[in-house]
Amino acid sequence: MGGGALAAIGAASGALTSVGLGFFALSNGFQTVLLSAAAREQRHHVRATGGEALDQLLGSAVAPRVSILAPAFNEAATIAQSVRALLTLAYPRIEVVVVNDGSSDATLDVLRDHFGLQPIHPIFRRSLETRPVRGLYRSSVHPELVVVDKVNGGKADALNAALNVVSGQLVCALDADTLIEADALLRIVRPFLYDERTIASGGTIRVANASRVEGGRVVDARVPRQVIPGVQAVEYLRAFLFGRLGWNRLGGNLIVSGAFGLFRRESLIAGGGYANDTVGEDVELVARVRRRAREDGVADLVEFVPDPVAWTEVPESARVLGRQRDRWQRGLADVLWRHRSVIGRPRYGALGLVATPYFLVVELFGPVFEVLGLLGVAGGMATGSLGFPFVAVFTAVAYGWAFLLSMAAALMEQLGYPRYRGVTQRLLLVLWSLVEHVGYRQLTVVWRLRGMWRFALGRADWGTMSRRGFRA
Amino acid sequence: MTSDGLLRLLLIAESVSLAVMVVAMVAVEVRAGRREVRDGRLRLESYRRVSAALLQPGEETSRLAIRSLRRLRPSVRLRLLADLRHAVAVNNWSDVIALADTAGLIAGARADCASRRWHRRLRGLRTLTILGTGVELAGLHLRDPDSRVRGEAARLVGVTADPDQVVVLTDLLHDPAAGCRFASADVLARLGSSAVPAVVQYLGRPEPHNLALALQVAAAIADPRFLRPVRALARHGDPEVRRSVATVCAAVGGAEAAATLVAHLDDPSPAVRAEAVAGLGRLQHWAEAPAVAARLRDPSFDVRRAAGLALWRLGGPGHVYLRREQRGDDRFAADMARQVLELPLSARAAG
Repeated sequence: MGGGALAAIGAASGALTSVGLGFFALSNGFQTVLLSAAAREQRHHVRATGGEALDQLLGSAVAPRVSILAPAFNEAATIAQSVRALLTLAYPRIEVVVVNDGSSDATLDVLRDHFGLQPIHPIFRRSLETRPVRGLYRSSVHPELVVVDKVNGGKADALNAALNVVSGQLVCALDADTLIEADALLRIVRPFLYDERTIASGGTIRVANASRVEGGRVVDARVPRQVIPGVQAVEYLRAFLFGRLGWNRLGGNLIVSGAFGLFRRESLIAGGGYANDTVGEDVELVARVRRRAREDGVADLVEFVPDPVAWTEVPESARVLGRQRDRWQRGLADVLWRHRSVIGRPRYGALGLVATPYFLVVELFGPVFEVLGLLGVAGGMATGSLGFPFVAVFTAVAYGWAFLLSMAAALMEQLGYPRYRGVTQRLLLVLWSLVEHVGYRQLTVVWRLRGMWRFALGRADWGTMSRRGFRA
Repeated sequence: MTSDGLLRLLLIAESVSLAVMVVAMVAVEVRAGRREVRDGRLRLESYRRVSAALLQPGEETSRLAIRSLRRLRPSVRLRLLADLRHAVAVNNWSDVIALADTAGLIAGARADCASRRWHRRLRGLRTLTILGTGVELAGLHLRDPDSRVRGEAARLVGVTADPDQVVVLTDLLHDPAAGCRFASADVLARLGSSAVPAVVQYLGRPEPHNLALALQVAAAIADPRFLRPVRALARHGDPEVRRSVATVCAAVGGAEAAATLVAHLDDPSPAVRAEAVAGLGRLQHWAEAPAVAARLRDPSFDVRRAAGLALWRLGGPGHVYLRREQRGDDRFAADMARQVLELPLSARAAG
């Protein structure tokens, strides 16, 4: 290779290294800003809720009615336990609407047998278009339980069918396999009671894989000992406890998890309900509802509440996890594309000026910048413009910073809302915080790049998500 | 400094931060574990001592109970008293307050209430609410600059139910903070009949104030004393107020309430008409079956639906009208009547 070519490679490597360096500084820097915002928010929240008597809300005659939406597709094995757990949630005025989304197994029969379902005529306003409803049932033993049996149309369609029949002012969207802590509704409803501008609130999702579950509740929370779910336990803590909590203060919460979120029903209906044609329906919904609220000049407050906790089972194999991350990336790309006119527009406030640009640059194109940076470093080493000691120190600083941020999330959990108890659990979190940035993160970069590629090709499938089931 | 040197410095800083975090994490966990064991032991002991002091009042038992309470951390002490509140008979509660007072808990709460920091005032009021004492402080804090503190002061008024404070509490129904409005309405609804005079007085006040929320409270209490001031609001300009008037009338019942509901059947707002027609159904006021049946032809789906279900609740006369409408010339009325008549029994019972 001639000297000119080497010089060109060296120059390109230098440029790419600068891109990588810039990306790391931007990403970690913004995360540090989020962390400090989250720490302030957590301190405020702990002070405001310390010594609070949650049971005061129980028996309230003026508390808003909450309807829980639980779509179910082929959940015959677990549906009875899940529904029973929902019916025993602590909240004064509750309605549980289970949607059997065209299950091919015995989901409806199980519900019928366990809860004495009686058919009722569907006299309701079809505010949202859905696939045909085959039947509507009410439990004779738990009158607050309503079951909608409909033709399969996917999760978003099932949620829209439930939205048509609910009677509550607030609706809580759940995944059928989510385990909610008994007092979670009493906690997640707070933003609606304290601020009339609230249109949605989200709770924390945690990893239940190694935890012991009894009667649909997590009774002994444990950090998984396997690498993949273990790292996800840290990832979830970071995403929720300082990611979304920090966004509260910055005013740009864009995500309310589809697994556990509370919405004002009228805002959802006015926004057109859940979108059927996206794989990121939860992010899309919040983006659309907030955008519409801004355009109509009405309130658009979306609050994350750190103490209501829902537990979920995360993928345990790299293959299934890869499919999930691929889908999440496609969902994000789709949402940002649909709402591209919001990005950078002062009219949309923090949503347009901070949140969407951050999600575009750091969350969507982050993997691209990370790979470019790594290529630049490799090129620089190959051409001799970067020495190994410099690269080693640079890499250690960049990933060490991210490692510290993960550790900070684990510490925030411990100081604010501890569920994992014991030194062993803490040390496991430290270990998984380290592993997250050495190996795991690089794998997710590959999956996310694959997601972007598939989005560009127009792929909109969900992929199969196999689950092992909770540990009893 | 060169970039290499800067990076090395950053690396050292990160390593030190990491080490500090790991040590802090382990230390906090070890401390929490020890605290849990110690708190559990002391709490149990304290529970026993306080119970003994209540069962066998005497100088020695009181002294031991107070000493055991003092050994507890403030948050554990408060949790213990909150548990005792549910377990101890009302007559004995004053003895528990006396113990808590001697243990310094009430003085501490009062000092917190006087703090300049909102979270300390909140903590002080929460302690007093659990103990059910210090109502004179509630009046002061109902006008606190912090909305959370005002909300907690409302709860303290609810515990003590002091009539003068209840009147002040109604002012919070139109507080600028939603949390205060909710706390006030919740407490008033819980107070029940003892809140009626204050709410009646509020309903008669000149505007502007939060009539809809006051009416929600009235509906929850459902006392006949509300009928007079509520009926005076039947022609209010705000449809939400008129709808709430219908809700209160349906909750209270009686001939006067039914007459107001009938008058609301021709209201320009569909929400008011739907509430009125549903209310007549709930009251099973069969004499008004023809007026309810007429609402089956209403242009609003919600009103037609409410009318159909109300007719079913009216029993025989309502069923006659449903069958007649099913064969009638109005397609929408016929469809709704058919849907209601085809309802399985369980659905009709659930309404």
